[in-house]
Amino acid sequence: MNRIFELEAQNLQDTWSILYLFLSKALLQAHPDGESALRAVVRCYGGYIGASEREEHRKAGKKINLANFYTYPCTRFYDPRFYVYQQQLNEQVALFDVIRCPFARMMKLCNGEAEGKVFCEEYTAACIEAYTEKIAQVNVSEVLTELRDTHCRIASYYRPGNFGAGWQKDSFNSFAEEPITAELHQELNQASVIWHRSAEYLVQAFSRCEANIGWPEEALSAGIEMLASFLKMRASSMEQPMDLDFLSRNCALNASDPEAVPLSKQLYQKLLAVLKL
Amino acid sequence: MYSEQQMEVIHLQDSYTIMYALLARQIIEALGEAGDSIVREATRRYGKDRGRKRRQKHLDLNVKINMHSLFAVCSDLPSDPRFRRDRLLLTEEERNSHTLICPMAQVWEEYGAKKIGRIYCEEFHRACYQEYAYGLTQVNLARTLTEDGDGYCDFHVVLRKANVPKELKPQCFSEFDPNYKKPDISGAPVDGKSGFSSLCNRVYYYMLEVLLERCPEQAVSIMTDALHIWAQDTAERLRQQAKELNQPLDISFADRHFPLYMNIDEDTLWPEYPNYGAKELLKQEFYNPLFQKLNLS
Repeated sequence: MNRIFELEAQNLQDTWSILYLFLSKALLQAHPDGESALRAVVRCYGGYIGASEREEHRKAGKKINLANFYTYPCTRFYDPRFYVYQQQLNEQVALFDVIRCPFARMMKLCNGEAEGKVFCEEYTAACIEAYTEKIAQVNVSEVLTELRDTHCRIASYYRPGNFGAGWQKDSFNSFAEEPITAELHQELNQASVIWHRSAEYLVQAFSRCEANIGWPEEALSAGIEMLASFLKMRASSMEQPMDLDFLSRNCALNASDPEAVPLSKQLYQKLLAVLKL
Repeated sequence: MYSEQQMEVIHLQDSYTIMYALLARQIIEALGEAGDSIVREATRRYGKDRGRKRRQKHLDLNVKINMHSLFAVCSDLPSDPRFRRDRLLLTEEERNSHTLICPMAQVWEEYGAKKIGRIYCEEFHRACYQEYAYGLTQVNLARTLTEDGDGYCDFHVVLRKANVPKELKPQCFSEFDPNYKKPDISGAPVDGKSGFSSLCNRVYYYMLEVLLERCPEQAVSIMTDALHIWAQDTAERLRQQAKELNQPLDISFADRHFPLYMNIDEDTLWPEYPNYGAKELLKQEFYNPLFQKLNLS
């Protein structure tokens, strides 16, 4: 049973996935060393997210550790369809099997497994490394974007023994691993703000390549068409008008922020034009 | 039923595993949190050393530096027959493999040293495999038999061509080196004795090195205690092994079933690791007590 807020959160995730996929395809097409560039973009995006989480936790007076990373996400939104078996989570250790992942599903639906796998191989490590300033070790042994795998396996270790002086003040309550009660602190009404920020970081990361390439107009237009078509389909399915309000609540791409990067604004304008808004 | 040669490899492997646990445990017991940190740093330095040496060996043999070479060309150790693996994928870019039975994890459990084993699993593999490929390897060990709740070790070790800089590509992948001729590597079995001896010496050396850096006043005393404990354990194990195999416990037996050379001066490794009086300390605080306990001269 999905409530309307849950559907909106899902749409935000799916539009973000489409945005990633078409920008990836455009980059692979335009860049002479496309896969290298794409991997660098994903690492850069992971770095933005991790650094942003760190900054938010610092501001809120939270310790930097894996328990807080997973239970107090500020720049990542957990799609309600996401289904995870949590083997262990404490300040130092996070062991998860991801059983159902909407990102992997969207990559499969859109023939984007290869681009999706690049994301899975680069993102989590870059994100958690940025969050922990390269102290944590991140292991992703299996990913749902790989055909032979049946789940994602993500294991992270963040040890006070690798931290040096000040570990207690900054990151941990105790040197020994202590069990914790882990509960996600995130509200559905935060979804659009978080996804908008996340999409902006994504486009920013892709924009770093602009010096080396000219974005292929056709690929970008095709991507925007795909995004528009998805949004129209969802609006129709949810029996809602396809207007600016719907767009703001259901589409990750949102360049209303005057600080948005030019590529973001350009893509958003294209989207509005296609949707005749 | 294992052959005599296999038994030798098994004993060499176990001695190495036990040595790591006993030295690490003594350092952690003596220094607590600082000890944990020392063991982790020493394990990383040891891992990097091993990765660097393997890379150099491959470069000397004109072997490409990639995942296939790392896991399939000229291993620095013979295969322990007790290991059971499901080797799912091995290409130049990636190795995907599950270790179903790991004698190291079993020994650490037997010695109540599973947490120390975790340190090894967390620090060694990452340091070694990353160093081998110039820091470019993505090391993913997301399940380990030293972790509660994990049923196997899940290795996914990746070197993506796209993540290798242009100037290194010809050194790593033959497709970027049009004139490359694959060398004919001899299939001679690896010598377990020198392999495990080298491993033990280097683990000890780096633990001493980091101890001296971080706790210079206590370092020698802590390492001396650790070496005594290791010597005691070694004496007991060698006696037990000789009894089980119905062989006399003499220098020759000890040389075949224990990694370190019974004549330390025969070990050609030491000139490469000349600092901190490491060889002398080992001779005095490990060899002497061991020989005494076993009535060997």
